Amino acid sequence: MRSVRRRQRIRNKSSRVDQAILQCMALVGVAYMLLFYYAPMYGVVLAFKDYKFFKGILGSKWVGLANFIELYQDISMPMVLRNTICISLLKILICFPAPIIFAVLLSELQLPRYKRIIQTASYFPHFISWVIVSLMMTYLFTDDRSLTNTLFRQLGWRQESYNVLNNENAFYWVCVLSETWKEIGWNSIIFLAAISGIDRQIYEAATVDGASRLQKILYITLPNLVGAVAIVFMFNFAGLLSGGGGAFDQSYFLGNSINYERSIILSTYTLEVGISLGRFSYATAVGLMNSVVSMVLLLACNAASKKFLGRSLYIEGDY
Amino acid sequence: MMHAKKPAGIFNRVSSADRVFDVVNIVIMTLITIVCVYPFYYCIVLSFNEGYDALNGGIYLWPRMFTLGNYKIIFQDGSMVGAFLITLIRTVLGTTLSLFLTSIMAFALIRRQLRLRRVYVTMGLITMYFSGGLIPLYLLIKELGMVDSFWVYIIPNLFSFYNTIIMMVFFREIPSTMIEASKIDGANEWQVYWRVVMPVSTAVIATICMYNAVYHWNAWFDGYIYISTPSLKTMALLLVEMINQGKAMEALRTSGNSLVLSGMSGPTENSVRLATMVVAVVPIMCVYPFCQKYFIQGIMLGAVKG
Repeated sequence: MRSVRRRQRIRNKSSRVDQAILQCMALVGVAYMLLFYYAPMYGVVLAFKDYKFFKGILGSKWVGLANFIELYQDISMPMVLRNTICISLLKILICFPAPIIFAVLLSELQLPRYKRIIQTASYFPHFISWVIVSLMMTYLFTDDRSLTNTLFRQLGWRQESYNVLNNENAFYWVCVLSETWKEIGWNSIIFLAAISGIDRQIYEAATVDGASRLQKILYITLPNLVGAVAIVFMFNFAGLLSGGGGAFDQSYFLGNSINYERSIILSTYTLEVGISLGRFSYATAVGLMNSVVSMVLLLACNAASKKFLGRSLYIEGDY
Repeated sequence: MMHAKKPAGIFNRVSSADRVFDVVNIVIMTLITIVCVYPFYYCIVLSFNEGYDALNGGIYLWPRMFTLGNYKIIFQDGSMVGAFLITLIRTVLGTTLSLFLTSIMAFALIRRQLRLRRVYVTMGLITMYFSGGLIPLYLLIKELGMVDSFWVYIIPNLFSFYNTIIMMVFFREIPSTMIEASKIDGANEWQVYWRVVMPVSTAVIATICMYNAVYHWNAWFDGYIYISTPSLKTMALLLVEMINQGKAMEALRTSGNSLVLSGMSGPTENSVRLATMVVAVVPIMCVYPFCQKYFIQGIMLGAVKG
């Protein structure tokens, strides 16, 4: 009897020690989140204040909605929003379906070795940064001495050099095509995974029934991708005000003084007014507007996802 | 990703339409592969070519006048070597520390006996969808005295809850009998984490490290905002500065002049820049193919639960 109680005591003690260890392990992360995620969230009040550096966040004057009224009246805002939304929508139109097509075609390839090589090669652009990509574009397309300009000159097609970045009407397409190039392989991973989850027997049965390759793609592969496609689509749509993946870097590196009217988007505009011009309160207001709209879009997409797909878009539930 | 082979019999019965499809498909895929790889290959070729000669164009597949001069300039330039080292230290330190923080958090959060577990998880989930934005973070970092210090590269990037969730999903798959057995042997929770869970989690560790390492290697924005000391600049940041200089030059230059250069030799600004780019990309290029199966796994973990 006594030994049982003793063992119980030891177990209690060890479970207390374990609890303390676990709490320590978790609290490191929790403390980090409090400092680097939750403390800046408080900084959102800046949007309702007139921030003066020497007064600090707390000491600065409350100005109510003045910053948002300014935002509403900002003459650059229609241009910035038009660019952001147009680029986002064009990306949804082109960058979003491209990996799906790529994944389907790749999965139809009958040469496993070659398939691996293609996959590896197609991931490569994802790993290089936009800094490098935009420099590469200089040497390939835009510079006076670039590949295309010298090639066209040698072939006698065009003598004067052409810089696509100095043509503001082309900027959206530069964004969309370079983004497609960079992410087509990487974004296809999720669809390839969905395809590899399809039961091979279905295909074999279809083959026996005399279905052609195209029929198999249309009636077996694509219907099985609907779930993954819908989810990726909704995430893309929720990011309407971000200009799509890589948009900030694109706008920042590929934008210049000549294409400015087409290249400035919400995130680069925030940077410009916030950091470069030092209008912290106004920039925070723009940022807040951005996150509120994005949040609403995400919630709307999530509601749609729950209704039509029967699953939630974002992570919730038992973790 | 898919190794399921079709039975050989089907191959013999391919219709001609299917054969056309196959050929077209192979051609398209080959084109995509070339388009993905060639731009960087072109840059490599140019970086090994004599600078002035390269300006004349016409170099597509290999250098016309091979030289190592462009690279020599980089490696003799102290600031470039310094930037390479800073980037390397940043990547190694940032990846290691953030792996440590993420993994202890993920481990603690999968242990059901952890009190307040749900509170912590909820806190984490909220950070994934809300953020204070750029300006408040900037002010915080200023307040913490990290402006213009090396630590601004490391500390603000230590932890993301998304990675924690990927780790948690993986840790959950570890058979609970393994953990229970070590508990019976008298291991405490730290020992379970360090000696049982971590050693069997190499796949997810590789995934998280890969994500973080690529991020750190390519990151430029934090340096751009917070760093002004030249010796603390990363390679990506130096390249950004080159781009900005280039833009300023472009604004001044009148376009359309295309004089033929002859008789001049040696590296040009362009060729050195190209060599710098190659130095910045090659380490990633050498690493990612080997991590491929891990990051694919990571994406699928994220996709299944996310």
